[in-house]
Amino acid sequence: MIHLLCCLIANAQRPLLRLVELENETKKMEQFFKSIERPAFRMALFACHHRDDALDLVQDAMCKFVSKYSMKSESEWKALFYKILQNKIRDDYRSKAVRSRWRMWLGKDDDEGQGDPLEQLADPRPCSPENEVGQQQVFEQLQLELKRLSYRQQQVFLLRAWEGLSVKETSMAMGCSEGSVKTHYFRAIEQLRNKLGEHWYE
Amino acid sequence: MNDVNERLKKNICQVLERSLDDIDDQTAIEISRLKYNALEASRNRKPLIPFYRGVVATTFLVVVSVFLFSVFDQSSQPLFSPDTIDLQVLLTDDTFDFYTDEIEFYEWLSEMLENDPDLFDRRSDLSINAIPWFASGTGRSRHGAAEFRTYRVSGGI
Repeated sequence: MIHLLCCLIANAQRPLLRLVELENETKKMEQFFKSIERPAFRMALFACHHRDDALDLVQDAMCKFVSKYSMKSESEWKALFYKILQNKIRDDYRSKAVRSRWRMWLGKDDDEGQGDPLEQLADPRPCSPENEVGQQQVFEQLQLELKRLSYRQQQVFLLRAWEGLSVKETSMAMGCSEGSVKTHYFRAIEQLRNKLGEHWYE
Repeated sequence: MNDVNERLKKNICQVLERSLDDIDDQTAIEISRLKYNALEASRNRKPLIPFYRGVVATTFLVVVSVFLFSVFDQSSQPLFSPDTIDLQVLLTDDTFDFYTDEIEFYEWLSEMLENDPDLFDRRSDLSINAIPWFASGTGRSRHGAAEFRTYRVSGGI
């Protein structure tokens, strides 16, 4: 009977302990999100070119990450989060492709006469020697060149170079082999070097 | 070539890092709100499973402990407690008229039991064959039936 009573007491305490654990988990998760929220938004924005869409993608990725992968070890969080984000970006690409195909068949213009968003961007290169290259222009130039890369090259470059993921982690996040990660990364950096120049921003 | 690539990569990362600080206030607020939305959504959903698990486990333990208590109680006490005998008396096929006819006798018997608590100790065992002859309605049978019922009430059978 004493054993049963002990079991009962332990069982009654379990929800309380679980709540404390949950609170700690939430704090860790908050810290993790704080560290990756802005880069994740930038990456999503590079991929989908639209601020609100990028915010939605990051939001969806965060929700899914919390509900599905929060129990995984913290060392895996980054790669798993970017894997989810990449999947969301791919889903967004597919849905946009289907939507634009339907609009094309129905004879409607995708962006109501706005044209290709890449063409809408201002040319970041200075028009004359008098133009001073400010921080914003430098970033816009980089943004333009990153957007000109293929989706996979762009994302592999950002994950490897900026987020510091290993080849293995990047391959997991992108859902491709380690060999193709290396190839995409090499091609991306080669193209950026050709476009930006070897001594860009020095 | 590797040095050139590394230098370029470093410069690009610098620019990207700096661009994070240049995010406009409205977007920055929305970005920081995203994580709270996600955490809030999970918080509203998460505790339900452990809570219900706890409830189910507690209920199970309570049921098991009540069952074990009852088993232990039964093993330490006679098989039929007085309450059970009362129930058996009520559930017998005898009509209530039988009891109303005999009510005076039972009143007398209870008085006797109150006055003489040692009455049970002087009882003698009755065979089950004694039952038919108290149905005839004679004085002897009435006495036998009374004695039989006394034994039933006292748990002698």
